[in-house]
Amino acid sequence: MLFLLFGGSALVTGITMVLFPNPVRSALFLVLNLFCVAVLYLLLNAYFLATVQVIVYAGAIMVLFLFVIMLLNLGTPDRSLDKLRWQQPAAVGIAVVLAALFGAVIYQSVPAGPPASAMMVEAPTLYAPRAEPNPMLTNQISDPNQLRAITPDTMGTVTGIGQSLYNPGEAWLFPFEATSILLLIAVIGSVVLAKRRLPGEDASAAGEREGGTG
Amino acid sequence: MPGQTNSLLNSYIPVLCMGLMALFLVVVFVGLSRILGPQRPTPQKLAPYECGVTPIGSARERFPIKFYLIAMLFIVFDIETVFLYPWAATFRHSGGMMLFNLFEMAVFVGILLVGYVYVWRRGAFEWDN
Amino acid sequence: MNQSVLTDLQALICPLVVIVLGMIVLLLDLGTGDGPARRRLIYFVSLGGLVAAALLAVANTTIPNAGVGVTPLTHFGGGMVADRFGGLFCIVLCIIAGLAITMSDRYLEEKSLNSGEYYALILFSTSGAMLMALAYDLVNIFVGLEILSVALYILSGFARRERRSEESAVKYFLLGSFASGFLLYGMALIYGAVGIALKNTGLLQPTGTSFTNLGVIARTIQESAETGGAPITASPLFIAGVALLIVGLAFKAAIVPFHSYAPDVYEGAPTPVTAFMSAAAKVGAFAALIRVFGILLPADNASIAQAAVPFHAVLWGLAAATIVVGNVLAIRQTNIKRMLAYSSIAHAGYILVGVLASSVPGASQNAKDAVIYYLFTYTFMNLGAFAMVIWLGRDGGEYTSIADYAGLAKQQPLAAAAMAVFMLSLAGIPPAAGFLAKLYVFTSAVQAGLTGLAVLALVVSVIGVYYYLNIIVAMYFRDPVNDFSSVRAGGARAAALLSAAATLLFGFIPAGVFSPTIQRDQPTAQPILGAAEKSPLPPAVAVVSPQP
Repeated sequence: MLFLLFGGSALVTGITMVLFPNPVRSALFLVLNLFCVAVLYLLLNAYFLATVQVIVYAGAIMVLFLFVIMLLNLGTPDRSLDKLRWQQPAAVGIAVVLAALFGAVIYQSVPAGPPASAMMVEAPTLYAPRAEPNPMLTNQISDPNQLRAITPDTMGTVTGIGQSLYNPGEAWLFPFEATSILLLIAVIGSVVLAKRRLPGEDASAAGEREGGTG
Repeated sequence: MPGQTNSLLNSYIPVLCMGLMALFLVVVFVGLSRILGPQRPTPQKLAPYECGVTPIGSARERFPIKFYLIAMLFIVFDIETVFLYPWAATFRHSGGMMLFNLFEMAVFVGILLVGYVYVWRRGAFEWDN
Repeated sequence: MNQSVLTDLQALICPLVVIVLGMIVLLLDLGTGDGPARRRLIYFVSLGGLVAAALLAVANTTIPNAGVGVTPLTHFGGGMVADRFGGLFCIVLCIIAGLAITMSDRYLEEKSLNSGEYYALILFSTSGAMLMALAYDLVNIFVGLEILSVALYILSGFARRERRSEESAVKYFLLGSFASGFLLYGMALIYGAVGIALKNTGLLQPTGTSFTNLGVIARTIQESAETGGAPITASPLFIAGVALLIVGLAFKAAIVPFHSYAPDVYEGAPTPVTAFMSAAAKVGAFAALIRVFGILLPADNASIAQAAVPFHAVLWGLAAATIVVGNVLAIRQTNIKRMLAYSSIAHAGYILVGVLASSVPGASQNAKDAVIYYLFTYTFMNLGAFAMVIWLGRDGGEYTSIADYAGLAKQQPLAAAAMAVFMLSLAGIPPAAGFLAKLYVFTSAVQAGLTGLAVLALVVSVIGVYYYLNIIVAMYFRDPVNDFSSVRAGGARAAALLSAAATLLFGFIPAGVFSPTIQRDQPTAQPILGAAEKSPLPPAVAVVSPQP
């Protein structure tokens, strides 16, 4: 029931977000949408993800969205500027076909037996703890104590995420460290692209930039 | 469904209650003042409140790009703290891996520290430049 | 600190060195000191570091290849693999980054662009492509791809005072992030398909098993086929996932119909960045394509191979479309950067032919050799051609129109000769390496039973000769319209001449040298390898020859 309520509202807010011509209102509907999706994460036992969704997406990233909207001073777009009129209906048509295709694919593939609610409780047992090292990963660390099993209780919680993310025996440590490079690139990028005047640039060039884009 | 959900999900019921109460209060306050309050609008009353000064122009002015830069940097370091949180929660229980876990996070934070030094030295924190 | 982590780090030494190098360069640029000296310091530190990284990657090329039936030596919980295949891609990427940095020095000075961030971003981007080549988990491929592309988005807008550069960055970013979304969704669907299959077959679900791990996926495919039921490769979820994966990677490699961004982005981005991304993004994408499709669509088991047939048809169509569209549209271009963009699309098509052939069991070996050989030669001839554009520019601008190069041979004979080498090689005319590269790819395609595709590629590449020769004709047989007496030269000249030398020399090195698997029973490769090492090669080429 909770799923229907929040899934439905996620759908409605998503559609209204796309349909509203005013970007600020769209952004506010996106906030609502993100909240609904956070509740869906909760229902799927992904507690940490739900919290992060609210803090990072609904909090920080939405602030950035609103900044950008105000930065660009976007009003309601002028429809007459659309040169390719056939593009919109064509895009909608293709999107519907694609959505139907994916709906069919997912409908066919999800095991027919247990309904969604039963799957939810069953899912954690997939991660039942094991004593012996995994034969699929041949050069797995040899000490079985290092495999801190994720029990159904901790899966999806902050501790559960921490246990799998920072365990060198699991696959997620490397992508975690690589993410820091990605964040470093983001820092450099935001300074390079958005800083008004970088050291080394002469003032006339910076003025030209402000005039050019502002 | 209530019988099937596990205890952790139940612990979020207070959050739901709080959300509902907040919604309730907002609806009641705004609704009551709408219903009970006298409404005699004049053009002066409908104008945006600017401490008594007559408003000039639209309130929608362009934001300087500085705000964008600050928000962007905030998000990057916000995501860093998101990663710190589960690490902190598991660190005490990591047993023999404690030193290694410290090293992992030191690498992560160290790489972002390079970014911090970069931002600092490039003067992105200085508002006037 | 335990031992296994140290071996893990050692296996990934090449990308790690490049990442640390990027950070060093970034921090060096923040130090005090006068501009020109600092620029020079950063320039040489990045180049030296890349040479070191390439030499370290050579060590990895002695590790046997991972593949179906071979238990790979994986690292970091099974997510990364260091093998000869990945090592060779790392070397190519080091060369690409090295050439791109070499040709950037005067360009950055003239446009007064900060060099610290620029070199650091190039190095980070390179490391991302390396991670893609060494990844053994779809998640790591995605993270590598994002590191590669986010750095490229920023680099293409690096000349931030120029509108075209900004436009290029925005276009690339919007379309690129959309393609990344497709890729990630495809990975999520594969994750779901593998998870469901593992649950149905009653296989163990231990902690630490990543459903996106390529080894786990390979095992799941095998077991699901052996247990009698429909193999996982026939499940709609899996098929949809692989289809989306193709979209995401094909975008990065600029394969038709996901190519439309390429000409605009290549034209607007700063020229050294164009040179870099035309090679690095493709190399990363093709490394991932070969690695992933070798495992997701194995052809050695009849029941599984059946499911892979539609995907082979799709890749066939993509390759044919890419070759035709790239070559035909290149003919009409008057801007040299756009022409090279379409030419690089066409070359992506040729490489895709090789990738397709590599999925056919009998031809797999030769096809992989051919693809790696092609990527090496493509790197030299394509980066060389862009280096020429930078070499002949001056005062912060370039001659971008093909007509501008008329009569170049009379004023700058060396430059004209180098350009002619690149054009001949790109067109696939002997003795330049481009000819051998095409020859190897087409032979492997015929071997794989793709005769139709090989013939089509051959015919269309003959059409393609027209626009390459057009430039040579302009340079040698037309009267000069521009004064080329004072040109930028600098590092771009070094990069161009180095590439030209490599392009010619590669014509004498057989593809076996770059074989991604170690063939102990083929002693024929040895003497040629020794000769290659003794010959007085320029440094970049010496780095290429693997240890015997």
